[in-house]
Amino acid sequence: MRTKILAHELNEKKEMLSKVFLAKGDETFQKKLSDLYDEYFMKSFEYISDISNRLNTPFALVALGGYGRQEQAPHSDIDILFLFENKPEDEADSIIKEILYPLWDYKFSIGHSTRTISECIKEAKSEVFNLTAMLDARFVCGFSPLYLKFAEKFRNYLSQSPKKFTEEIICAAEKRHNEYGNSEYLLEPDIKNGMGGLRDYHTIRWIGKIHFDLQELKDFQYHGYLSETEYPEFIDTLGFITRVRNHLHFLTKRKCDKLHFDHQLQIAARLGFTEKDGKTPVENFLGDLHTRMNFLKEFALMIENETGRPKKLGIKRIYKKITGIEGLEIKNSLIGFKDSEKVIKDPSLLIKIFKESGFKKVPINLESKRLVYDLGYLVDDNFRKNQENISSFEKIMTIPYMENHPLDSMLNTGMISHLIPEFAEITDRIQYNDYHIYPVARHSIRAVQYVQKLISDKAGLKNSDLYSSIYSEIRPKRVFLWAVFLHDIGKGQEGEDHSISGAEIVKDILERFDMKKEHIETVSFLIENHLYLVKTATRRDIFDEETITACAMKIKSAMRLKMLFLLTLADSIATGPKAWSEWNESLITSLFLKTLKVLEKGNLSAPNAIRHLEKKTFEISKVLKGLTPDAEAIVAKMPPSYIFELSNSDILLHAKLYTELVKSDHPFVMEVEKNKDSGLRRVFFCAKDRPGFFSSAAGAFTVNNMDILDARAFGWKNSIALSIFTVTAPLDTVYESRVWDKTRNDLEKTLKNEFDLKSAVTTRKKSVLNNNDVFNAKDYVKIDNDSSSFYSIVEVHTKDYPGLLFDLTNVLFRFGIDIKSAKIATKVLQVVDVFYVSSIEGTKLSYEKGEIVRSEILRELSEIKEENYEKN
Amino acid sequence: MKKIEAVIKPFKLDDVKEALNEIGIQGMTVSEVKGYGRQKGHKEIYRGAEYVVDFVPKVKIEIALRSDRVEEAVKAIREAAKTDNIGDGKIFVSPLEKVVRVRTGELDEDAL
Repeated sequence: MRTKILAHELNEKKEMLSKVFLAKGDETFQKKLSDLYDEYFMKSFEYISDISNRLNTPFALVALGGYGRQEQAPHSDIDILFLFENKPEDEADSIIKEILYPLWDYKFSIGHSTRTISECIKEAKSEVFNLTAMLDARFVCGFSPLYLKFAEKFRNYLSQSPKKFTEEIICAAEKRHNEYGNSEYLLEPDIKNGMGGLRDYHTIRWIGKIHFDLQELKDFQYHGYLSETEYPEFIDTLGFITRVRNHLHFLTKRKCDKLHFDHQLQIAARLGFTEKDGKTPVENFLGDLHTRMNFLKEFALMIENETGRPKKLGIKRIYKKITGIEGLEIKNSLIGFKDSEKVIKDPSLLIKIFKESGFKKVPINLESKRLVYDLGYLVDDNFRKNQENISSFEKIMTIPYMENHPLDSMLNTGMISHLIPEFAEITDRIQYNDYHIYPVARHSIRAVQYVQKLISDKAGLKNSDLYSSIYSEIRPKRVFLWAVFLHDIGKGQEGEDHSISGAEIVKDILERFDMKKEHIETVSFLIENHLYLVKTATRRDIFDEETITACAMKIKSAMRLKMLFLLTLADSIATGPKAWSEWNESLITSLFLKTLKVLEKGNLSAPNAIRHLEKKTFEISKVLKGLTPDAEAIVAKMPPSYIFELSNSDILLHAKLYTELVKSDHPFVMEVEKNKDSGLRRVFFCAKDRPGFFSSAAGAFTVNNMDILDARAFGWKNSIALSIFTVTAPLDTVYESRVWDKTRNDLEKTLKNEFDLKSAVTTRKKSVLNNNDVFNAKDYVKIDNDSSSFYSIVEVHTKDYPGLLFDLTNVLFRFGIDIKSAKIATKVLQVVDVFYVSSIEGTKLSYEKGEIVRSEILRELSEIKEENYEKN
Repeated sequence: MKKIEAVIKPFKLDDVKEALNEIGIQGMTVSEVKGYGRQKGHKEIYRGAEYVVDFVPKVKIEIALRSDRVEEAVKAIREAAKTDNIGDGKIFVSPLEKVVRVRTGELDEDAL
């Protein structure tokens, strides 16, 4: 093929050009590369003139897309259009082959099309992508009158409905942003398609073509979209991102526009970034890139707004917005300072402008942003102590939308770092791990934004109503929001656990704002523990009561728990999709709800409960240490609810019984505490836990003619059952110990199945049932599955009779239900017995089982009445 | 060859991984899954509103290995994953027909 030599030549020249670029950089690289391609097409066109002459239709070669703009990145496609006057014959194929095959052989990637003028217009109609490619069309070689005819037809087509085309282009851009991540601050940005990437520049260039037939970039300034100072910044920005893209293509040896971590290191080095302000070259590089992508994004957004963003946003612009704040004004849908003198007199405008911009949804003009940047030194300790300024910032944190959030512009203009100098440490700080997709400062802002998103039903989260109901209970909200905003403030410190260092740093920050001490403590606590719920939910068994109790004891207050929960969610979502899934969400939400229940309803919900508990635990250990070397181990086995409910002396007595039990070969040990004055006895048991023990013990008292007035059952964590029965003293107090021996004996025999306790109880019952009141008693049994996270609660209201406790617990025993704890209370003859129970598998009772148990208890109670009735 | 699939409690993953490493099994696929067995889902109440968690979060690990190693692997998983409570999970063992290593094209036991 004749053109092969040309392709070879092109390839060599391209390599030379690349070498020069890599060696010393070349601002005009892309233009030069595009010129090389032009040269190839022109020469090859001449080479094949003999074939073209045989064609009966003239044609032209037209460059499209990036090639049309003369912005040719090293590995981008060469977009070329073969434009024919009439539908070409088969001969045309050989022309295309002659021109393109050699390029393919040299591995150039080509996008080519063969069309007539009317086909071009048809394609442009069908697909916005084709329309924009043609907006960049440029004549390369061939029959130029044909190209001019095309250009004229295309312009006519555009002039039919410029507004519609603009809208289509903007829609495409929005769609692209959604696809590539709606932020210019990603840790691994796509520098072409991402927000603030080169495509955004192409987009406004196309809009410029449609609206004012843009010929060169200077036209943006000429048409008033850029000021004299902004234009060079724009050119500089394009140059920088283009340079990055060239390097990226060379580095990856392919068309790659996503800037991965490993490329960033090398590109930062190639672009000459160094270590500065305690940040690594790559951090400085990415910070610089983010600033520029932000500039491009804002500029593109401004042009899109001016030229016709589609309806949904357009409606709002009908109402002219005004500001009531002295020193600010809204012009051309942008907010700004009236003049710089006013700002110097009243520095609070530096923060008011962001608040007003956020609440009125009007972006700040570029000049005012620059002014904020220049006048940032006005923010001093007086400014920070001024409660109005602080409250302005706190209001800003509640602004609910994500895009163009004032916090982002506050960060860009350095305002946040002026307000909170410590924040500078985490600005542009990269997080090298698999989870984070934003640098620390942006992540912090995102987390604040996600709080608002979490609680709005628009976000489509399954539990958003739960989250918003929790948020509505949080007081004070500003304290919570500070914790969210500053949760990663410790990440600027090297080598330390950032939760711990952050908890310290935040104290300085908030003291400077004159925040109340108790609030500062709350924020500090939340920051120190902001990973605690995630860790607990994923690394501990949340179906274990012990986990939940430990969590409750650590967090101590329901309010803090609620704050920590929402902070955890916002932090996780803001981190990125890898840190957040429905799977995580359900684990953390379960942990939260279970812990909250303990803090709100359990023993730990009383004021100072936790301090009280810690004190008791300490005292018990102290005494116990004097008695047994195993003191620590024994105390560790006691669940908090047990320590909480019993007096120290009762617990110590149990501990003493436990040491005896370990040594003995009996299934239980028992001790009677006598109270001579009251005629009551308290009987302590410590037993190896086995189903039915509690019930049997109750029965043993009944057959020995003692009435049970109160009974409590507890379990230790090592399957040891503890109980305390308060019973009437034996009738024969002189030979009392004989009665106790018999009781102990009866119980032991029952456990060995050597004694029929049930019939003995029935006999005893029959001998005493004669109280007429029993007839009128209204029995009531309630199964509560909601109040406790781990147990079903069986509540029985009835009239007392000897053997009642045995009957009730015996029903539970028959159904294989485990009694975790019991509270028996008798008032005259009215009894309220409450049992915390679970199935043998350790779960709550199902609804069906609960109902069966309920009716069985009621049946048992009514049988007793019938017996009594018959007897009477 | 056999394939072992074990569905376990999430917080037990590290223990199980370690236990398998100890007997020399290193390759495994881990996924976050949801499901329920006898444990059923559960219900949480907040301010009177119910939040039903129909499926309980679990972790599934999958291992392919030689048939003669199955017994000890199952034992290791079981011992490490046990909490003695309901919802500790299940281990499934099934025959494995063929294994191909993508990079080299090695087959079956060579590819394990």
